[in-house]
Amino acid sequence: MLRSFDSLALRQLLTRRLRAALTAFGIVLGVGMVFAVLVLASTIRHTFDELISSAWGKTDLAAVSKSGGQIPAGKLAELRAVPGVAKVSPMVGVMFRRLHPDGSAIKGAGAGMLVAGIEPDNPPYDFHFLSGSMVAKQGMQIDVEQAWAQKHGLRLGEAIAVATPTGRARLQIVGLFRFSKGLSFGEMGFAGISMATARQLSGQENGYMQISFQARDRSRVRELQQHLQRVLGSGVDVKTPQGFSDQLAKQLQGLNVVLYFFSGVALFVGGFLILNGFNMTVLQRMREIGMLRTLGATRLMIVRSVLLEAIMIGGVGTTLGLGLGLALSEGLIKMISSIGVPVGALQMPASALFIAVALGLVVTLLGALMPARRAGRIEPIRAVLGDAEIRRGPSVRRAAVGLALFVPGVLFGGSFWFSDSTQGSTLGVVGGIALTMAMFIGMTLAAPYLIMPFVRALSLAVRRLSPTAGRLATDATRSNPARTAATAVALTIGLSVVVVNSGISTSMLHTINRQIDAAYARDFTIQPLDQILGQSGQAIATPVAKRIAKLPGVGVVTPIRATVTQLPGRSSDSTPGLIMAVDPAAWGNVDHTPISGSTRAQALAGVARGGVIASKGYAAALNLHVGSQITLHGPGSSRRARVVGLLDAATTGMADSMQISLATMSEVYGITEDSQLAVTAASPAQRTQLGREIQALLARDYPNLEAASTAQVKSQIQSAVNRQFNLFNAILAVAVVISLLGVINTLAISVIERTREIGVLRALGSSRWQVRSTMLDESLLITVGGALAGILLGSVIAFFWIQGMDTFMPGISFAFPVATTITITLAAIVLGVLAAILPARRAARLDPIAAIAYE
Amino acid sequence: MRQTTDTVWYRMRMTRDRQGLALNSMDANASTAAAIELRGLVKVYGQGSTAVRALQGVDLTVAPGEFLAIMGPSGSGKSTLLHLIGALEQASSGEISVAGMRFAGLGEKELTRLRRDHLGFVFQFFNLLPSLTALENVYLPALIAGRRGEELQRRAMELLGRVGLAERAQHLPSELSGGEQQRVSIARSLMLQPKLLLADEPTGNLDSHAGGEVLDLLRAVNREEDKTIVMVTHDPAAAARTDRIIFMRDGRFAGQTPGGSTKAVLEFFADGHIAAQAQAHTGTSRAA
Ligand SMILES: Nc1ncnc2c1ncn2[C@@H]1O[C@H](COP(=O)(O)OP(=O)(O)OP(=O)(O)O)[C@@H](O)[C@H]1O
Ligand SMILES: [Mg+2]
Repeated sequence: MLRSFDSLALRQLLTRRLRAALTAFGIVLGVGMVFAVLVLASTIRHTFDELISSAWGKTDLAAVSKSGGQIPAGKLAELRAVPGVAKVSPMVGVMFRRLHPDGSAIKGAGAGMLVAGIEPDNPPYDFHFLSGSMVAKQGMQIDVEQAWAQKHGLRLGEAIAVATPTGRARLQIVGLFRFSKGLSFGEMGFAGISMATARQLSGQENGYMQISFQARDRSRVRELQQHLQRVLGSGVDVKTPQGFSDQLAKQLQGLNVVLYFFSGVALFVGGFLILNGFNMTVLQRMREIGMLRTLGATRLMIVRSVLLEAIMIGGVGTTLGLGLGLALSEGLIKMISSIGVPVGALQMPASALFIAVALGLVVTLLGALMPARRAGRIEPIRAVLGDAEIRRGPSVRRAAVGLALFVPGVLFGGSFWFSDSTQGSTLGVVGGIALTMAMFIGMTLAAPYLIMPFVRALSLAVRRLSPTAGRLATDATRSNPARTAATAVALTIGLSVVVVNSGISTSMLHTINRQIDAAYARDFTIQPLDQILGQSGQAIATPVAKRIAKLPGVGVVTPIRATVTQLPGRSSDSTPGLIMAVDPAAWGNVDHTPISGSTRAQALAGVARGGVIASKGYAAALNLHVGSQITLHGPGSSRRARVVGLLDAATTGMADSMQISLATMSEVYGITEDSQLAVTAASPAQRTQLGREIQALLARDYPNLEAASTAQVKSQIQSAVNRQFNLFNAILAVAVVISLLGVINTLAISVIERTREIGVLRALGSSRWQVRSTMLDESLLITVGGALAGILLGSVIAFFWIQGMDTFMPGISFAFPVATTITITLAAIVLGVLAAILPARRAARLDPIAAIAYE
Repeated sequence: MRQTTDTVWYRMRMTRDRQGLALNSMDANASTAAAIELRGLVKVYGQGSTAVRALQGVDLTVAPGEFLAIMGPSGSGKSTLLHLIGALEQASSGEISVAGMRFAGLGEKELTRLRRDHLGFVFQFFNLLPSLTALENVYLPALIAGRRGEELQRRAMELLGRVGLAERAQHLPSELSGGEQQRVSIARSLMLQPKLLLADEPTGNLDSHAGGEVLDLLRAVNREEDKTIVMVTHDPAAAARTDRIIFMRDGRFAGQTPGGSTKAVLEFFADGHIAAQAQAHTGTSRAA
């Protein structure tokens, strides 16, 4: 029984269950995505906190070299003498990779082990042994984190075979531990060995990766921190565990912004679905609403009743969205751990819950606001005049406003997302997002002008192909251009973001591919398995270069030592850059990257004298040019250095990068291990033979290393770039799915509207198939029209944004994302067919008699 | 005193009035007590060269309790007239008062309230809410007026009984015939006990049997509950069952005749009365 006028809203909703469900599903997906991303962000954040607080529960302060290099061993005595220090625990870091029984390396991140070399009687971490005990001070013993050991079937007492920087080793598991809160490290294993063993297996003869401190008086940690910082100098960070956690989180903020943005797009499209759905419902119900007005319902009552419906849809959609979000976040966590971010157990803070619910409801209400106002304006006379729709095309004013909002975002959005002048500043982030949001709203307003010509052009083709059904479908899309456009716009928005995304990644890859031959002017790159330059991780011990140099047919073997850190002049929470050390005498033989501001020879000579070659983006951001001075800060020392040339390429994949000499690297940053070796054969004829020799050597003694050809390096870089963009695309795929729901919705309404028409057709002898194909054609017109507009708009945005990326990636030029375009077009066709299935079935099932009697 | 044709008619009706209502309304103050009072009503749709003059100066007085039929060719402005009386549309010029209330100067809110409290509409296409049962459709106006409680359902049930559909209370409109739907919509229009019912071709969509039932109902409502009813119809037989029939042509008043028999109505058409009366009408209007 109907109890009040307001409960009419619920009744209306229940009679249009399918439509309500479709409309709500947009919100389910949108909220799901937003919630998933929020959960992901807080899970990552929590992982860092856990990681640090559980492993460092007793640690008050820790010192880590800013540049990933070594803290000189000589400092240890000095640190122990600092007043207020109760305990100083040094650590040496090394990476192992587990081996198959046949001695070859196990591939994949799960076989990697982060190993801490520690003083067993003075451990820097809070090990809780579940079985066994701490390793001895000497010997091939190892303690392994229990969860990872269990996952890989490793047991106490067993010996495991690993590849270390210095070669193969077998270590006996003497203890299984966990940290206080039972945290695991994602895919990689964590293990402890004695300091002496670490020195032996890593080849690092002195220096420490990290030093932990306990204070005598915990209330005076601040003072102690300042004191230790003075002793260690500006190349080393001395922070509380919380401080490190905060720093890590800040570095991930850039990624978070992108994820929030994309999930925001999904929700935006969801809101758009609400807008379209309600608009259509209101149009369809004009007679009814007019009648309610003749019965004395006020405008406000009508508005309220539409908004009530929206709240119910929003409420249900949001609730289901939360559930979906949890499932989606599991998927996202898998993807994000594949790009090397450690994540632990799922975290679902109340704030994420609150934000997702609030956003879901607000977006639903905003989407319903315009249709509700429209409903409120319906005059009582509609009760007599009926639902006759005012079929108006979009207005010119709308196009102008749309364009005005669209253009600034296209022109300047790129410099927000990619240039570093705005990096880190909240104002920049807010401004950039506002600009981009405005761009999307502008696109929403103006897109119909683009979509309709596409639809018209496609109509001609469809009519050629199927005269009768096609005729009806094209009439349907054209008789109601506003609705056709509104439906297609949702798809256009989702797809345009996909195209922007892939336009950027394609352009980046093309640029790298173009430049890489010059940058990798060598025959082989020796590197840890699947680890491109700049990815932190394993190093190559010095003997490897020496042994390769002795192989027959070798021309040049020269090391590259790299570290990823903030470059001089950058704040500690900015995106890190790459410092690359090379041997200036040999480097010219294996690298032909263009250099500007001086000749190659001069630049390399300058590097030999302690100078730096700076990447263009970095130089531009800090206003450096050849002859400028910068100060390098490392754990070893600080020194002034002259800029001797500008690197005219983007092959490092990082906006900030610089090249220095091996000597400078070791003196300032304390890095003496090789990240890569560049090898050339003495003559092209000897290349194949040399390759075989190197492979044999690596397989025998260094199974964790590989000798990659330049083509292989290319594909590795490619897949690294793709992995990152795939994460974004996965989120965007949800937005695309939402817009398809909109297509189904529109088609369903189209069936209802044309019930009589379809009935006449059927009565005149059209087959069910013909009726079906009418719906199919209409669906295809909308999806393909929307997709083409999305491709065009996305390409335009990507084109302009890439112009703003030149400092980020010198020499980058726009490359049209051919593969994506083809995929999207094909997908639009397939999805158009899928979206039509339900409505087409409904149309085909209409009983001709009933359809004609339909009123 | 105005000597317009309709006041003459008004007097005639009064003498026949079974209940002898408001006998004193025959004096000069009669118009204030009239159920409907129209003066110089003009309605123009659109502007400039495309303007349609749907009503071109209509005067009309309807007495309380009168059952009035409006007839005339298609496009003559019958519906427009009804819409203006029902405050569904605004007049271009002229005066309207219903139950002594003048529309001029009333705002959107007041007009809404007027529709709710004083007017009942019966449409050609029933306009029942498809998602509500017959019973719910009947008491919907009360919900809109903000009333609640068991009382509503009891009254709605009574009204359904009155229109002979008590057994169909729980049916949806789609499960009722056209005539039944129209009876439900009449019950709905009575829910808030308005004094005036406006019906635009209420039988237009029904066959003669169902139409007859609807007319019986309207007639009974008019007699027994003292409702004033204005009904637009194309059906002489339907019109004949009312108290008075007025004819429209080209947006103007074109004559009138008392109801009674179908024959009288048809004769009236045949006599060419309509044209003559129309001229007389405009003449007197100007003189007034
Ligand atoms: N909203 C409108 N806009 C423009 N012209 C209108 C509108 N409504 C009615 N008209 C015109 O006003 C005139 C009177 O219309 P009205 O609907 O009152 O006629 P009617 O007598 O009810 O005809 P019918 O018997 O066919 O229902 C017609 O010429 C009609 O075309
Ligand atoms: Mg009419």
